[in-house]
Amino acid sequence: MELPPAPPLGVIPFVKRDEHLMTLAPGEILVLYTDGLVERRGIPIDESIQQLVSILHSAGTPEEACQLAVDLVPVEGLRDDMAIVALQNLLVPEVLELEPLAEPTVLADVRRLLRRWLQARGAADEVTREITMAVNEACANAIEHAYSPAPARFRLRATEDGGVATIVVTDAGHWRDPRGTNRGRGLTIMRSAMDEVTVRPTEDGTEIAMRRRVSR
Amino acid sequence: VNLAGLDFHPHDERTLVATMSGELDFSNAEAIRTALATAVSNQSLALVLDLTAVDYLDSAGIELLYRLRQDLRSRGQALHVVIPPDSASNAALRLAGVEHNLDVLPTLAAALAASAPPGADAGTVETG
Repeated sequence: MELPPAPPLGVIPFVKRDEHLMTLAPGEILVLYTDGLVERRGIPIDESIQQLVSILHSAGTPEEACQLAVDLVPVEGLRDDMAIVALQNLLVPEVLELEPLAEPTVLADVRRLLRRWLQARGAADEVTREITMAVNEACANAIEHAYSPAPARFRLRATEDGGVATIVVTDAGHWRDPRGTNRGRGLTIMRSAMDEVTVRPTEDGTEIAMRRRVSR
Repeated sequence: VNLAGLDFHPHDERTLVATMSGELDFSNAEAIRTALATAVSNQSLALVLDLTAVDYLDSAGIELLYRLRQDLRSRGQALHVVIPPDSASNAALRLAGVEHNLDVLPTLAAALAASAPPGADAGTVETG
């Protein structure tokens, strides 16, 4: 996508800027960089941009893209500072497997990844919403149960077979009866959102398995 | 990481309106409850909490609503929660089985009407 250049950021206050919308196909990588990377003594800027673009073609991951760009920096250094941001539209995996830290702040990311996975499995919006709420409660449970002094993790595994999604959340903390009305409500949400919920103790913790039909 | 946005604007000297957006969950519910309880001054009679723009609410968020209501009640203040019937928040209330228990109002206008003390004139009356 070729676009006309816009004035530099932060030079003119309150300047109106054009917005551009583009779609990243699954697997595609978007690389953003500041001009510090391409401004070189004795090399026309168009040439160094071309060089950067051709090198980036071989990048398979955002990390590789950043590394390839950094490798372009000459030994004598740059005249300006630089920043590179690379992001990739990840393919949605067949089986979703996560091992997040047992901290409340991971919940939002878990919900986002799960929603994407459910949508790719053909789940309707309402079904996606309800399953996400149930799984969020199971994860919140796992986080509450993880009370080891070291940074603990819990596991989430989501699979789909014949239109039925199975999501299993496992933690390494022993099941305690829901404390107070809050956790009790969490269990109610799980049971009303899913077709089937089983809570069982494992060797070193608790496993919550949930099932619900997502398509057909 | 704060997933949620929170804005305050006084409706009148008796009622404070708090408008929330974003996601309300186990990670931020406690901080939000404190922010809300602190924002309501002793002169206020009611807090209207508008969750229309909230796109995620979990059991910790529901717990927040119950506890905030209790906190305010103990100070002689009322809480009116706005949750439209077709919203994500209402889906959470429904799944938790508290849809008819929590006493929420469908619109901001309904909540402001509910917060007007009995005997007060019903808002601005247009007269010819």
